[in-house]
Amino acid sequence: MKQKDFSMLNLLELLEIAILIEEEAAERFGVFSDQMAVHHNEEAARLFRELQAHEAAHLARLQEKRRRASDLPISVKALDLLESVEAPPYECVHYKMTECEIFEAAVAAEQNAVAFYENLLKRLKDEEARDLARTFLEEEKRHVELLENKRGALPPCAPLCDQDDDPPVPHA
Amino acid sequence: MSTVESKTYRSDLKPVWCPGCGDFGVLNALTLAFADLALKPEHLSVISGIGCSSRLPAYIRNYGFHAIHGRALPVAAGLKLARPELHVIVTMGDGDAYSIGGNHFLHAARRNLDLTCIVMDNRIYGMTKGQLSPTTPLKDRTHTSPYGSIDPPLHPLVVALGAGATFAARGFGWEPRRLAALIVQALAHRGFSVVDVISPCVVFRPEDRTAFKGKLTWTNEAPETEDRFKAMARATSEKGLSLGLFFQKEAPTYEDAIKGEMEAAKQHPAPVRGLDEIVAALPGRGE
Repeated sequence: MKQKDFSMLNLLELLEIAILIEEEAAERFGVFSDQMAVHHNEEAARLFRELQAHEAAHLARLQEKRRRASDLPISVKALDLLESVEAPPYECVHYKMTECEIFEAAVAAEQNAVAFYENLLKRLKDEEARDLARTFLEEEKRHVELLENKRGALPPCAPLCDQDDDPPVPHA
Repeated sequence: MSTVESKTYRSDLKPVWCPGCGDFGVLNALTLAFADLALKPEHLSVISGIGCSSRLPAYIRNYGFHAIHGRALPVAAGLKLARPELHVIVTMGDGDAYSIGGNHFLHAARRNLDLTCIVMDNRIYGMTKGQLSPTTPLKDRTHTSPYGSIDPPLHPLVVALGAGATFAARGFGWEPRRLAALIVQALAHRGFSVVDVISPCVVFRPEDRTAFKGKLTWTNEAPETEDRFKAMARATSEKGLSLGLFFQKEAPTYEDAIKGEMEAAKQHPAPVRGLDEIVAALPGRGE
């Protein structure tokens, strides 16, 4: 289960990895939206759906860029990427999730993407790919800023247990 | 972004698992693995027992069967013997696989049935609201062990390896992409493959939201050994929870043995005794 050597990515491969990253992020926000809807948290479901739409729009732009860049078939496989980069982790959600917590999770996910591209830039050898990675890094930084501003406009998050009428009790 | 998208394997049903549950990651990993291997949905069958984990077949767009508690493996074995061309995947929870269905688990492993067994191990009975399971850690308090569990937990991979499983791996539900890579290997393996997946229950073991942070380490792609005992030692390392493939070995499957048996029966039919002969052989009759 070895991770593909990302230091050797060329321009097209990097674009395809970025598509995988956005695909997973969009899919994850969609799953979270469904989870909230199933558990009757309509407000959280709506917000997650908006975040999904945002990621899906970014994904569509990258896919269009890939189509324009080359007629060659996609060379990167879904499991060439073994880490979730921009998808918030499954464990970050709770059935009574609030707007504030959702933005915190989204900010953390975008920060993870920033860290990924920063780390990648330290290793990437191909010059064209490095230019593209810089573009992605700047985009992700803008997303962090945008989401942080939205998060900053909200009151502080209440602790998870304060929102739950019947909180789970640790057993250990 | 493979030629087949993982979402094509998802049904329209929305999972009713609790938000945060590790089973979401297992579902994601399973569909990523199917897509990676470009498996046709009509060549896949997912069999489950009872429990949160066992809802999984409903969320996938292929054949499936929601069996009774602990009996997913016998159903899967019957299906595999009748339709050997299918990929038969068994999804169970720790209670289903290691307690109520523990006997079936042992015998499926020793027979080396060609099944892919994915156990979503949350270390508790979640669906029935938090009773201790065979993998609940010692001294943990649950609704059925209010003073702390007095039962030492079972080591799933040690049991699987001891019983004869030819593929033993452990993954983590919250790391779906790495788990998918393991499932790809399990699906490609011919024989009884066990993937024990740590799949946290955030409701009845809320401490598990953070319990695994910094404690999990992934091993390399290929198992370092074909020695079962060394693999057991690695799977139970005290240094932390190891994840990855611990053991893989090629061996004849039960399906191979059955075919051999059928050929032998065709060539050398067993002598059929007449009723008079059988009655005469009964104790007291021949005197």
